Amino acid sequence: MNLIDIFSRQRKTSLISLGLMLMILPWIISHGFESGNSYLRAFDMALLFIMLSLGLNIVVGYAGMLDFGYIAFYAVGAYTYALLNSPHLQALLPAWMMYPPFIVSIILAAGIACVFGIMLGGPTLKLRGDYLAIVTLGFGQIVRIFLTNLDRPFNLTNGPQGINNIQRVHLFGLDLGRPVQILGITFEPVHLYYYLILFFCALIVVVSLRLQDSRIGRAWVAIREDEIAANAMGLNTRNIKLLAFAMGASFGGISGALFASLQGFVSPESFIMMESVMVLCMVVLGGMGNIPGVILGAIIVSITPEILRDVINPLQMALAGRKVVDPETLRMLIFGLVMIVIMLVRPEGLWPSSRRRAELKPQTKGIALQEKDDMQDAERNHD
Amino acid sequence: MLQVKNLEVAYGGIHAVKGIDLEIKQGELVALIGANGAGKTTTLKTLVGMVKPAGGDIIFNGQSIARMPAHEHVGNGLVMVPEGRGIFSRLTVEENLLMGAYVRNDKAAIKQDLERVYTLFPRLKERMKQLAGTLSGGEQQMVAIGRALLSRPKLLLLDEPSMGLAPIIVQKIFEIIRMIAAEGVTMLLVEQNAKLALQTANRGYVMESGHITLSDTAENLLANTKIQEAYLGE
Repeated sequence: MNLIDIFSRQRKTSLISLGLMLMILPWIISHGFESGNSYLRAFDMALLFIMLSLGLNIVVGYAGMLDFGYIAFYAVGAYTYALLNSPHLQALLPAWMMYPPFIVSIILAAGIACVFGIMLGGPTLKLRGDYLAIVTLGFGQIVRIFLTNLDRPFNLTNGPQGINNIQRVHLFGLDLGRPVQILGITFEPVHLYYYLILFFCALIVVVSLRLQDSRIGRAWVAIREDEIAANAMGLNTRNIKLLAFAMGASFGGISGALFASLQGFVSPESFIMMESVMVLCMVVLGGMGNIPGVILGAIIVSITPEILRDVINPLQMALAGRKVVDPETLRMLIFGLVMIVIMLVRPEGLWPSSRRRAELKPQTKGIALQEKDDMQDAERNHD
Repeated sequence: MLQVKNLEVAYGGIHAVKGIDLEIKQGELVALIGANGAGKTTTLKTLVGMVKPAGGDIIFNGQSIARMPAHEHVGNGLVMVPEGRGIFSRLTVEENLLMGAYVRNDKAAIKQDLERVYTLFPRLKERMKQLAGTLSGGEQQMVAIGRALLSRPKLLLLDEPSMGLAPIIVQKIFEIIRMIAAEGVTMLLVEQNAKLALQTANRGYVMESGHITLSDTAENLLANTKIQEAYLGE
C-alpha cells in the first residue's frame, strides 16, 4: 500500500466515503444507541490506541525492535499535557508557561516524549530481541513508578492520586468542553473531542504512510534484516534506530496528550504494563508492519471489551439468572484465548504486509527449484 | 589509491592483525589469500571502519580514513560486499539493489546504474520483484555485488564471494568479478579459494596469523612452490 495507490482514482472515492462515514459516525452512535455517548467515548479511545499502535509499529514493525514499555511515552505525553494545563503546578511555574495554546501543548508533549524515546534508545542501541524487550519493560515500569512517587521531595506528579482539573481544550476560540452551535446544529463536547482526535489520528496515519515508503522506511526494514549489511551500505544505523525510537515515542506523546485532554484527569494507573502489552497485541494481531492491519488490530482490541461488557452481563442474567463471572475477568480470558488461536492459525496477523507474509510462509519449494535452475544455467554457460 | 601502513587490530587482548602493509593502485584487482583465522576478514572490516584499528594508518586517496565511522566510507567510495552476502532477504531484489544507492541523491544516474547492473546480471532483472531471500545462493551473491556497484565504489572490497556456493556457481561469480574488473573498478578480493583468486587477480598478498608473509604478482605466487603446497593443494 503506498501513497500513489491511495490517491489513485478508485481509492479516492473510497477514501472520501470512508472520511464521510467517520464524520457521521458520532451522530449515528450517539443517537442510535441507548448508551451512545459511552460508545462514542470508546471510539475516542480506539482512535487514541490507533495512534499508539502506529507509533509502536514503527519501532516493532519497521525497525524490528521489541518494545514492552511503550506505554511510558503515552504517560509522558499525558503528564506533560496535564502539568501544563492544570492548576497543579501553578505555584511553581511562571505564569507564561501555564495554559499554553493547545497546539503548543501537543507539540511539547510530542517533543518531551521524543526526548524520552532517545533516552531509552540511546543506551540500548546494541541490544536486540529479548534483551531489548527486558530493558524496555523495565523502562516502562520506571516511568510509572516515578509518576507514582514523584510527589516527594516536591510535588511534581501528585503521586497515585494523579492530576485533576485539566483544562478543557480551547481551539480557535472554541471551548470544546461546552456544546457548540454551528449552522444550527448542536455539537456536543463528546462529538467535538471525537473530531479533534480523529484529525490527529488521520494526521498520524498519513505520516506513517509517508514514512513507510520513504528512504527512512526502507532503511528501517534494512536494519531489521541485517544491521551489518545496512551499515556496509552507508546507513548510519545508530541514528536511524534512534529515529525509530524518537518517532514512535512522539506518536505516543501526542496520543497521551489527547488522552489527558479528553479525560481531564491522569493518574499512574492508566499506564500500567498491561497497557503496553495491549498495544503490542494490537500491532501483532493486526499485522506487524502493515498500517491497515495495525489500525484493524487497534480497533478490535480496544472496542471488543466495550461490546463484551454490554453483551456478557445480559447474557449471564438470561442464562443463569445471576452474575457468574465478572465481565472484566472473562474479557481477559477470551482475549488470551483469541490471541493463542491467532498465533497458531495466523501468526502473521489478520492483515499482514506482503513482506511479513512471505517471511512466515517461506516458499521453500521455490528455493530448491531455483537452486537447480542456477546449476543448470551455470553448466550451460560452461559447455 | 589505498595504502595500509603497519595496521594493527586487536579484539580485547588478542591481536588479530599484527602490523600489515598493503597497497592497491587504481584499476588493480588484488587478492588477499590465507587460511581460516589469518585475519583477512578483520583487515577488510577495519578498512571500512567496522572495527577500529589498534595502530597504524589507512590512507585512501590521500586521506587518512582509519578513524572514519563505518557509514561514511560508502560515500567516500570504499564499499564492502560482506562475508556471507548480507542481503536483505525480505526486501525485493530491486529494493536490495537500491539500498546500495542509499547515500546517493542523483536519481537519474541511479537509474542508469541500475540498468547497468541488470545488464551485468540479466538473472536479477528477471527476478527484480522477487523477495531476495527466495533466491539461490549464487543469485544472492549477485544481488550483494550488484548492490555494492550501485554505490559507485572507487574501491570494491569482496569478502569471500565463493563462500557456501557450489563450485560451478563459484566459477560464474568469478567470471562476473573479471567483468567488473574489466569495467575499471578497482578491487580487493579476500578469498580462501586461493587458486581461483590468484588466477583472477593481478597481484596477491598472503596472510598468515596476522602477518603478511608474501606479496607478489599473481603469476609468481601461483608458481611459488611454498604457496602451491600450502594453499593450492598441489
